[in-house]
Amino acid sequence: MTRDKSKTTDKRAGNARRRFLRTVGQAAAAVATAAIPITLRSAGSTTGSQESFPTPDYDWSKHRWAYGIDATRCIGCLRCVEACKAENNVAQDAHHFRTWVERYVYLEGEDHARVDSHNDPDNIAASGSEGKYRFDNRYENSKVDKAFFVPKICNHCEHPSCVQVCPVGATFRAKDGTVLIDHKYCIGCRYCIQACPYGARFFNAELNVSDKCTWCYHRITKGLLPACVEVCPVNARIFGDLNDPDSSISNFVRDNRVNVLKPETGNSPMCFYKGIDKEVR
Amino acid sequence: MPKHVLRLISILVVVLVLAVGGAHYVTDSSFYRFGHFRADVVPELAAGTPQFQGSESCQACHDQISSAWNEGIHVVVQCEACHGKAVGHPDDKKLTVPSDTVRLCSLCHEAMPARPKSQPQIVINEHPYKHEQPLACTTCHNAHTPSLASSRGQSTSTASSTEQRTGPEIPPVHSASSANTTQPVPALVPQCAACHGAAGQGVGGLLVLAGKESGDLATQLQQFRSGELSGAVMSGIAAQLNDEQILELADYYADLPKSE
Repeated sequence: MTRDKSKTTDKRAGNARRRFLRTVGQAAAAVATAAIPITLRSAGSTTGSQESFPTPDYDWSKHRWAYGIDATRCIGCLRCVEACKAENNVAQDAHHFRTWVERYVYLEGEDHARVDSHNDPDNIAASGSEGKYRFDNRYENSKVDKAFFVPKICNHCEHPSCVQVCPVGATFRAKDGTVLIDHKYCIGCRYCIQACPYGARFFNAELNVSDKCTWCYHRITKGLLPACVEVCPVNARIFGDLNDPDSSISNFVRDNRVNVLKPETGNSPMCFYKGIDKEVR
Repeated sequence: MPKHVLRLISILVVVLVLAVGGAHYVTDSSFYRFGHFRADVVPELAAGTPQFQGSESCQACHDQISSAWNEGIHVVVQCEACHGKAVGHPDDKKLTVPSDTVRLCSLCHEAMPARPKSQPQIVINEHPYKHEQPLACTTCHNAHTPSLASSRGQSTSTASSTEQRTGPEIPPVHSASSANTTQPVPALVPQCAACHGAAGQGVGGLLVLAGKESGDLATQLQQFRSGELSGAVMSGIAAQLNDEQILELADYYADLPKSE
């Protein structure tokens, strides 16, 4: 008796569930149909655009930019840092910068390198102002075992973690390999600054957005070199197109044993380093 | 269909329509064009004005300096690295000629442990030897073609670039054998004049040679040569002089009138 009753209830419930699922399925289908135009729109414009983008003279699908850093050549003159700030209107204090140079010094008998950069208080004191940059000569009278400079910059990764975490699509990797920021869409949540394993991003307090190196996008799209590469007096910074087998960067990567920073993160940086030491991250 | 289910579904549909419609309204039309970003930002970023104009842009007006720079060791240093960004120049902006050259030049040439050995470096306080007041680097070096000889227009084309990179270049003394037979003093004087002035008058009251005692000058040169006195520039120069040349130079400068 009880068993029979439960059977009928099961059957009725089963019918109700079937009906409900059918309704939900139909609703889902309706939504999917509504979404098709959006998908079509994006797909259609991609295939439809044969003209060069983003400018008539520059087609981003024809380039694959990369950056090289020859740490064996860097003399730590910081012309690059100053030029970058002048070119890109970066805040003129020592703590906001798109590129920087680190000094690694191993003193005799010490296992670990001492590292400083242009924003170190002693270096600011040596330059005399936060808008000028110079390394002080603090190791002049020390017993130095090994020392070198390493220029640093956004690595414009192939799989950038900053792009992955951006909640609003304000940062992205362009077809030519540059990782760019849309200051209009950026909501200033700073998630990308946290996510970057290289500390290459900073917060632009003036505009309330994240900021970073663009490889001087306004220059490279006009056939010029990034400002830091332009002013480097010792060719420690190399920039070029990997699609061109004769470009300076192709030759640099081919002729040298190059490294990237923190390969274990899976970010696949597009900045290639020559002559860095085990402690450089 | 029961009424409450119908109501629930209609509410869901309204919310969905509002969400999709709202997102469509606020999303930029170029947003999904290439991916999950606003495509229009790319031309916006590409449109910026380059501030650094490149050294080629300087050539048209500053052709003389440009061609000298082009042949010297400093050809690797772009104009704007020292003079600042050239956007707006010459119409709206005058570019600076660096005034404190000791500070500027030492950015690259101050002896520092982390600098590669191939970079020419000096210990500022000992270069070329201690002065009571520091001289501008441009007193002896031409900033555009920095070697002592070329600052006086002498040819240094025989020196290879690798030799030039190893340190402040001391020009070779004009072949000593021919110097003895012809006129030795005029041949050697330009080398002295690079630092000591065309008439040995010195610079800013320092490095005066004109009118000094011939014997003192000769003794000092001999001491530089023997190592009793040391100076980054003079030791190298004196080492290439023979006794006869030292005496000739000392006599030449002793005979010149004192300035003032």
